[in-house]
Amino acid sequence: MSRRSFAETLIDLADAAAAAKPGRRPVRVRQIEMTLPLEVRLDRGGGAANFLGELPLCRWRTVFDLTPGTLRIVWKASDAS
Amino acid sequence: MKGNDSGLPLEQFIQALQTQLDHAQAAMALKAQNMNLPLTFAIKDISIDLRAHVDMVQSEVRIRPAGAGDRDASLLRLSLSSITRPMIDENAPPIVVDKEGPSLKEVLGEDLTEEDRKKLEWAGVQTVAQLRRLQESGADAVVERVTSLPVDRLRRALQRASAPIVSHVLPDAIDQPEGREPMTILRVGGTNLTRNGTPPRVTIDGKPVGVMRASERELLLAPRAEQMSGDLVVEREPGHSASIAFDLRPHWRGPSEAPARTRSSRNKGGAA
Repeated sequence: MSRRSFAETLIDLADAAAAAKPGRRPVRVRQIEMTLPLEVRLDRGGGAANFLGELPLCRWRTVFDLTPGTLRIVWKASDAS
Repeated sequence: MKGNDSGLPLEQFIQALQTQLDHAQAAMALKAQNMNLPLTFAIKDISIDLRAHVDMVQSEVRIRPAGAGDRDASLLRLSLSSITRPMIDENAPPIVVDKEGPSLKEVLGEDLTEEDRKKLEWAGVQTVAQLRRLQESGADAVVERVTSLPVDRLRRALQRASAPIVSHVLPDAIDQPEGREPMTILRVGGTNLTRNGTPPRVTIDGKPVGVMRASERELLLAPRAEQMSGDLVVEREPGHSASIAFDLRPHWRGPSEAPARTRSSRNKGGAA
């Protein structure tokens, strides 16, 4: 099964955070903290090491699945301009 | 894990992680621009608790993420934070550059293994000059203790690091007043050519040659016509000498031509 790079996972998480659009509400999100399980692998197929990291694909783990680590990430809102 | 099971050196592991963060940041910034988003989220802090095996392979710390069913893995907590350019500049150690001198590897050759050199780097010894200074200041005993390098190998390395080396001989000329012929000189390049500023004794085919100027890296010699080729020996002190064979006879510019030599010509700057 092909695994995604850690960057792709982060971009998806950032998209999720960006879904909290300010709109016309009087309050807006300044910061989002996430604590998530993370499965990490190293891929050295192309010579250079590629850091693969994504959220577990299965809810129920078997003995063949990795024990996930933990990703804690703090997103800070900023003006895109 | 795919590929090599021995994991990655710690610095490469962190680099691989940083590369992913850089890619993600760049992609998010691009996306915000392209989609004209008024607000975006950037990574402020990130930490990863990683189950991994930490191995020591030939003095190198290697990280191998735990596989399925690995119960005895260690837990590594990697915390990264966004930093600004001034913070990078402030915390980056000055890079030690010794452009002209030979590298530690060139000088030490086979005396020290890759692992031995790494141990020296732990002690902050990255250049030949630093290694030489250790010996001069008597700090080599401390390095022996800190790095656990075998005493004889370290002493041999120190001796070699402080030995004179001649790398090349080049012809040059100095203009003379009153329309006299320019004076032919030889520029001898190398390292450790003097000791505490004292010029070395230089001979060409066993005959002394005048030393006009001497520094650690270069000697200016005033040869006679018959000294434009031969075996040049730089003796900095008894037991510490370096030699090189050269032939620069066509470059003699003086009152008389260099006499023809009976033995075969040798290339200029060829190592002895």
